[in-house]
Amino acid sequence: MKKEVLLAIAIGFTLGLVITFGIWTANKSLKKAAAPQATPAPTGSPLPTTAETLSPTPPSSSAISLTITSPEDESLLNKDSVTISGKSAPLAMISIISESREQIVTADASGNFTADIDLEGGYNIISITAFDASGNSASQTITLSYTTAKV
Amino acid sequence: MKKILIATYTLILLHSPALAFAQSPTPSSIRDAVAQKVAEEIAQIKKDVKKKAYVGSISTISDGTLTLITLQKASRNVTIAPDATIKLSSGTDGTSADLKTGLYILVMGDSDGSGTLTAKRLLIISKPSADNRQAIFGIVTKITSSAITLAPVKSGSTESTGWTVKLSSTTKYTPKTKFADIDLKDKIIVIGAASTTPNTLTARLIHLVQSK
Repeated sequence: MKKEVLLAIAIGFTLGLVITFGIWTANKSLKKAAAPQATPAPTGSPLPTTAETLSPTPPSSSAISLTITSPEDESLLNKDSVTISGKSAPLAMISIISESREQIVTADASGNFTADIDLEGGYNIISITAFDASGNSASQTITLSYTTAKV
Repeated sequence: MKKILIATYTLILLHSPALAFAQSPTPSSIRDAVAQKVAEEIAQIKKDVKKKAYVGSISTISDGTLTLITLQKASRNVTIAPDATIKLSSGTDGTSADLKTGLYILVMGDSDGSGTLTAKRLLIISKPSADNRQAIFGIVTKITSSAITLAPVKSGSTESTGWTVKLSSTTKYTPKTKFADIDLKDKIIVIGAASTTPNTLTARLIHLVQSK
């Protein structure tokens, strides 16, 4: 009888340890998974990793940025004119080609620019190109639609 | 000895569940977190619903849904609302049976956060023609009353070897630009219609960037 009790205690003790270890391991893994995967590249690494080899060529330092902040591409509008806002390089020259006309505006010292354009009924393809003084350029095309019908 | 072992065993058994739940939130907090997350998602979905219009050709069409390839070659999913209005290119009313693969359409409706559009109005349109207008930036190397020759601003540019800009009676200038002010080595931006001759365009708008 005493032997059986001791055996049961030993089994229970072992089982408890196994369960505790399992829980501890699971919690540790969950914490590790939740932590940000910021793994700095080893300095002085002699060979590039596969990811580095396959990554696209970074844009050259001479590239110019162009972001259209408003309106969003493929917007549906119910007015026949709209103000296009965006950001590019400081003092960049922005050409805007809309369905009915062309215009050139200059960005301010922060690179922000705005331009009013007229819209024709239906879809309007607006081509925007930014140039800096060095001849770098960036282009974007957005499609805006104008209708008076209830949608 | 026996009592000690039993006590140890009991302690381990009692402690194991405590370890299991020590770093887990209580069920009520999980419920609250889920409810909050759902509320945030619903708010985000409502915020993301926007009036949008897609232009492109129909690539696939099935019962009540279609896929468009836009003019920028992007794929867009469209669900046709039961009460949607369909207009043919002639302006007359059509039905969903008139929508066929390859046709160009302008679709208007509500776009959800994923970009899927619930179409309320569909217009069958003719195939959009390519816009031959473009903007170029160059340095004036030659100027006559009828044409300006431009060299690329960027030295070593591979984009172009230069442009011939034809001037016409419809050529306009930006407010601070006058034709008489344009001189050799000036930088100008020209928006014009490209001609069939390579690197030649007819100017519609000219902007003088800087004068030497």
